[in-house]
Amino acid sequence: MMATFMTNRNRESEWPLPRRACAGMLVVLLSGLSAGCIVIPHSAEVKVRQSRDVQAPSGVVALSVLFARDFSPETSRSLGEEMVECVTRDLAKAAPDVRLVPEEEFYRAIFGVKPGEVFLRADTIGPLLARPDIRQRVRESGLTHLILVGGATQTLPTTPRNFMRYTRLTASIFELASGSTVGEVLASAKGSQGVGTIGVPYGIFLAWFTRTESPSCEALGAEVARAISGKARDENR
Amino acid sequence: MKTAELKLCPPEPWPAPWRPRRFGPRRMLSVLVLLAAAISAGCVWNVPEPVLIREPRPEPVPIRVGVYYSPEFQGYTYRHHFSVTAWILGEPSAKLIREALALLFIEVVEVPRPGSGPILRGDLAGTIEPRIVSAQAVYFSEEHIKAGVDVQPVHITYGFTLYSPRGESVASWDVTGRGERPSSNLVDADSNRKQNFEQAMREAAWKLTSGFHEIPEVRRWLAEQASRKD
Repeated sequence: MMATFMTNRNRESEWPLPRRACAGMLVVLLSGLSAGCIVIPHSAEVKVRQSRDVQAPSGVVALSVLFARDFSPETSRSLGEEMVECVTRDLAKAAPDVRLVPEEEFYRAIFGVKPGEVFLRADTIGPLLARPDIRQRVRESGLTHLILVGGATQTLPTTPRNFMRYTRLTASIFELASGSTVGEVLASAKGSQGVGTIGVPYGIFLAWFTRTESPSCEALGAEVARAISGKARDENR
Repeated sequence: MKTAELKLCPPEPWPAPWRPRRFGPRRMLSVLVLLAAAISAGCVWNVPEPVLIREPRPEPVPIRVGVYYSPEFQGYTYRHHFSVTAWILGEPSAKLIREALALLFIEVVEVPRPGSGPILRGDLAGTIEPRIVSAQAVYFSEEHIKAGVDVQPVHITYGFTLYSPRGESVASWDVTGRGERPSSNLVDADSNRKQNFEQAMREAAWKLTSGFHEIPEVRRWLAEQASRKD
């Protein structure tokens, strides 16, 4: 070994190791570095339920799915928009007879203003829809329901390097003619996330995370579609 | 005989042809220093665009009022010491309050002087002067960190003084709005802060329009105005 080392040293006086060995070590080091951060996605534990059995609407249904900033101030804009997309997509699939009205059209038809100019909150929806001029607009528009979505994700530490993510999303279904709530659909998901190291002497960083927002959003969309279309849960899935 | 020696001034040298200066490391460094100074002095600015809540609409007040927007109010800017972004709050606040007062009164006239002097038009029942009492963005909210949500809350407080046509202070009150929407990721932190400022301003304007009739001094003033008309 020593002889080989010496021979190599004599042959290539600049390097203590042959160039091939150096290149090999470099490749190993680079691959070690590039693999040094491993991120593993986990699957979340998802639950859905209805606050009370939502009575599937009969007759022609025309509704709008909205994310209103005042109704759910704890919801980030990206999550709100994702929820509208999930619910709308699943409704279009599960209940093709339902007329889905875009946000701008809804605000113009019912309130005569632009989106964002209405203070839609749990305590203001009833009095607003009870106003004679708005009742008249509801009748003329043919719109029957309004679905307001909201929710948030909490990340709480379990140990110094591990966290638990909780996502809780809701869809509140309102009947426009009566101004009352028909029911609420809830979807929640939880999963862990954290960091650790494996391997000696180089520590390879290992991180795992659980996507809790997307699965709960998909579950919420499917449940709302089931509630509106009146299909049984097993039939829908 | 000596001949007078004619001394002429030496001819001016021809100007050297213009050559671009070398962009050396010193110059590069000074440009970088200037750039850093500009950024640290708050040259990055952001303007929130709040939307006024028009429904439920407030009960309209059947009187004409004047409104005075002071230069301090219109030029109000907020900058957190952590950030290079300066938030221009005065201009959008003036626009929002202009719209809110137009929703509240039958006519609102901008006046060039505050209410402490005689107002120009005789048919104005009074003058309102808005101001920004405080505005703040919190970068590390302990309350929200404990709750496990990524929120950088902001708040804005508007103060209002209502003056009589003679320039006496009739009422003075504050409204505060908050924006506590969570951020979805680190990249959109400034965009999220902008949304939170918009939410806070919108909420404060909503409190102005919906709570105007609830302020005791304002209620008395409105009753006086109604009795004068009768």
